[in-house]
Formats: sequence, structure tokens, C-alpha cells
Amino acid sequence: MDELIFLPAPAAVLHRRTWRGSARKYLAIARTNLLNRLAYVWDAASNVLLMFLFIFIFAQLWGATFEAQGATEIAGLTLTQTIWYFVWAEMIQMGKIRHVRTVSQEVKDGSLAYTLGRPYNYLLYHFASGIGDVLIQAGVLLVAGSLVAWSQVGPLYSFRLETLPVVLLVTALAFVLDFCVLSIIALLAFFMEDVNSLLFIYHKIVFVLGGLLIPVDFLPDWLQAIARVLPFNLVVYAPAKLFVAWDGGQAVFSLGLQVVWIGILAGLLTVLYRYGTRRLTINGG
Amino acid sequence: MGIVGEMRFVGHLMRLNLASNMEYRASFVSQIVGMLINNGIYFVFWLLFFDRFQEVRGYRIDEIYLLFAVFTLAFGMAFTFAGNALEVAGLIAQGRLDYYLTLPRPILPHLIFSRMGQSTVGDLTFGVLAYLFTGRLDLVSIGLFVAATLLAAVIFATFAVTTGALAFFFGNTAQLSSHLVQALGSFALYPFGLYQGAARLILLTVIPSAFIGAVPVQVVQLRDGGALVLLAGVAILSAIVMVGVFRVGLRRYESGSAININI
Repeated sequence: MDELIFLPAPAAVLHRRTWRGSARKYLAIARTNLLNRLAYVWDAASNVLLMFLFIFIFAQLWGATFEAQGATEIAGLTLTQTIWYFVWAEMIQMGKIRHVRTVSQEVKDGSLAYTLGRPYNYLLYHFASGIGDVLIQAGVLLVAGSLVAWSQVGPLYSFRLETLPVVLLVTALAFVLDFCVLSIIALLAFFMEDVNSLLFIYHKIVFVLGGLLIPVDFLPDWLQAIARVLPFNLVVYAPAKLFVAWDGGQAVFSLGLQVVWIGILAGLLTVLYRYGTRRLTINGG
Repeated sequence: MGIVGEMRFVGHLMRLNLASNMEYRASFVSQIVGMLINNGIYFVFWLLFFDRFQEVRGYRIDEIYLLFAVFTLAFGMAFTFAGNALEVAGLIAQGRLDYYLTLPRPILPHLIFSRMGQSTVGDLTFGVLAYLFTGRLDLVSIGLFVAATLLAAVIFATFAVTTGALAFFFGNTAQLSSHLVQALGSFALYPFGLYQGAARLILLTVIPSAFIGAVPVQVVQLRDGGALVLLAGVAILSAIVMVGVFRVGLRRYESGSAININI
């Protein structure tokens, strides 16, 4: 029998093929979910309703507050900037990847075990699947929120189009950071019966320290100091503030902090996932 | 079967639900504590807000204590006891009403009360604690607070069921229904004085947020008997609308042919 010789493919070619294959795989997942999302128009429409509602309420509350203070600016933000800040903030909050219930349920009922043998990374699958949803949601929500903000306070003159790519980058990293935190909460289902209360608490921390209900600049100085070093403000406040009041130095600082926090949380997530899947037991046949 | 028999049946369901919740005591308690913290953090927003801005359109932090007490206790009562009220749209869309249709009991009360909320007990507790901060501890105020909150809870639960019943007409409206209930709550949690013109009209009719926030607060704060009667009228009307929408919708119900076991 002739000896078969297999020549090893150059490492770079292999790497490129693998990388491309992976990217194509996760893009296909994102695309499938995006199409799936388009089939449920009512759900997207109901999010628009909430967006209208929140921006309207914020316009009333902050309009009355600026009026009561007799101020044109509070902590460096005008009323117009404040309302548009909430448009961007709510777009991030309402458009975020929602996988906690699915993942925690799969952990609890053991169905996670069936996904482990599939040719994808479990967490990347959920990320890719969620991204399709985010693209649709965020776009629709931004248009809806902008309509209300425009009707209440007029256009955002302080916005500079050339800053948009960086604002979008900071916003994209905000989604990644949020995904990491939410995934950690979901995987804690390995140890807890129900992670809903943790999820609620995280959301409410983002409400206050993340700047969703009140821009971080409006907080007392001592609380601002705490909020600015924690990752929560990087999820909402940092991108929303850059959108309404661009500051190059602040953009670089936010990007740096986002990368550091994503590194820390992704590491923690990997450890938690490996530890959890080793403990996984399934019943049935 | 008379109304007394039905109330006895609902009472029996609640006892069973409570026993079921208590079976997983650690989870039950952790959810309650989680919800207490959840509400507490949200409350911090208002503390920070009024610490900085003192007063907005006549509202100060004292009014917010009372508003939170009314809102969280009403929400807690509504969805602790009528635990399925928030699930109606999903149950209809999945064809899971079959279970209730086969049993010799009126469907609506059986459906609504066959589950008890867990985390909502935290809201209930938070409402009582927030009321203590208002300092209105005389018997008349407490009586008015309990009565107004009970009526607000009825409006909350009936609104949730009515919006959930939209699934009979429009398919799976679980998220739409949930968002409408969220809208009801979100508007109620802000001082009513913020809203002007058409917004006020909407909040007194289509999305009756005023009746789970501002009006009960007015009942307690001003000892306003007229507002209490109005609240009772709206609660009865809400219940009538809920029963009407559910009955009409039920005629359009299609079984999911699914086998369900309710535990």
C-alpha cells in the first residue's frame, strides 16, 4: 500500500478558513434571528409604544424640572440635550440582548447539555442570535424616540455627524458589556434556583448608577465618583452622553474603560461557564 | 353556584398557592428580598432627584413616599393573589385555556387565581414599609389607605387581564400586553401634576394610571371621600370591561391541542 502523505496546510490559511467559517456561521445565526424577529411585528410595535411613553414622560418631568429651577442648563446639559440623551439611553436599554431567561432556563432544566455537542460556542451563539434582534430594535426605537423628542424639544443642534462612528463604537461595546453582565447573571442559575431577582437588581442599578433615569452628571459628587468607575455607566451613560455632548477625551477614556471591563467580565464569564458545564447533570433518556 | 361558593373556591386556590410557594422557601424568600432591593433602588432615584431639585410642580419627597406606598402595595396585592393576571395573553396564545375549560368552574376566576406571584410579595412588603415613612398612622388614614389601595389593585389586575385577553383577537400579544401594563405602571409612578392636556385625559381613561397612583394618593392625603367613591366606580367598571372582553374573546378561542399538566 502506498504511503499517504498529508501535507499540513500553512497555519495562516487554516486560521483564515476557520475564522471565516466561524464568522459566516455566527452571521447566519444573526441573520436567521433577524428574519425571525421581522415575523413578529406586533412585538416590535409594542416596544415603539413604550419608547413613545418613556420619552414623553421624561420630557414632561425634565421640562418641569428645568422650569422649576429657572435654568437653561443643569450640569452642563440643556433641556434639549437632556431629552435626546434619554432617547439614546432608552434605545440601548430597550434594544439590549435578552437571553437571560432562555439561558437560565436551559441551565435549570439541563437542556444546556444538548447544546454542548453542537458546532458552536454556546455564549457566542446567544450573542449572534441577539445581535440580529438588536439591529432591528435599536433602529426602530431610535426613530420612534427621535420623533417624540423632536416634537417636545426640537432638534439636537449639538450633535456632530463626524463623531457618529465613535459614538456607534462606544454604543456597540456597551451592548457587549451588557451582554457579559447578563450572561454572568444567567449562568448563576447553576448555583441559584431563580436569577430573576438578580436581574431586577442589575436593571435598577443601571437605572441609577448607569444613568438611565438620571444622567450621572446630575448625581451628587460623591455618588458620581463611584458611578464613573463602575461598569454600569459604560452601558448607558457613556454612549448617550457622547451622543448629545461630544468630548474627544471622554470618548477615549470610555473606550479604554469599556475594553478593560469587557476583558474582566469575559474572563469571569468563561471561568463560570467552564465550571458550570463541568457540574452539569441531566436526567431522563 | 353562588358568589359565596366562588369566593370560597378562590380562597381555597390561594391557600394551595401559598402552600406551593412555601415549598421552595429559600427561593421564595430570596425573591422577596430581591424585589425589596429592586424597589429600594428605584426609590433612591427619587431621593436623589428631590435632594437636588427640592420641589417640582408642588411635589416633594413626602408625596413620593405615599405614591410609592400606594403603587407598590396595589401592585403587590394584585399580582400576588391574581398571579396569572400577567400571564393571560401567553396562556391564550399557547392554547392553554383547555385545562380550565374542562373543569366545572367559572373560567375567569379559576384562571386568574390559579397561580400566586412570588417576587410580588416583596412589593407588598415594600408598600407597607413605605407607608410607615409617610407618618400617617392614625386609624382614618390607614383605613383610607387600605381601601384606596385595594381598589387600585383591582384596577391593576383587571387592566392586566383585559389587555391579556387581546390575544383572543390579535394572536400572541404577550409582549404588547406586558408593555401596556408597564405603561400603566410607569405613568402612575410619576407625579400626576407633570401631565397636561390630552395626556391627562388618556391617563384617566384608556390607560387609567391616575387611578392607581394620583387618585388613591388624593384619597389618603386630602381624606377625599368623593375620590374614593370615584375609585370604587372605576374599579367596578374595569371589572365589567374585563369580563365583557374576556367573554367575547373566548368565543374566538382555538384549542392548542396541547397536553398540559398544571402543577
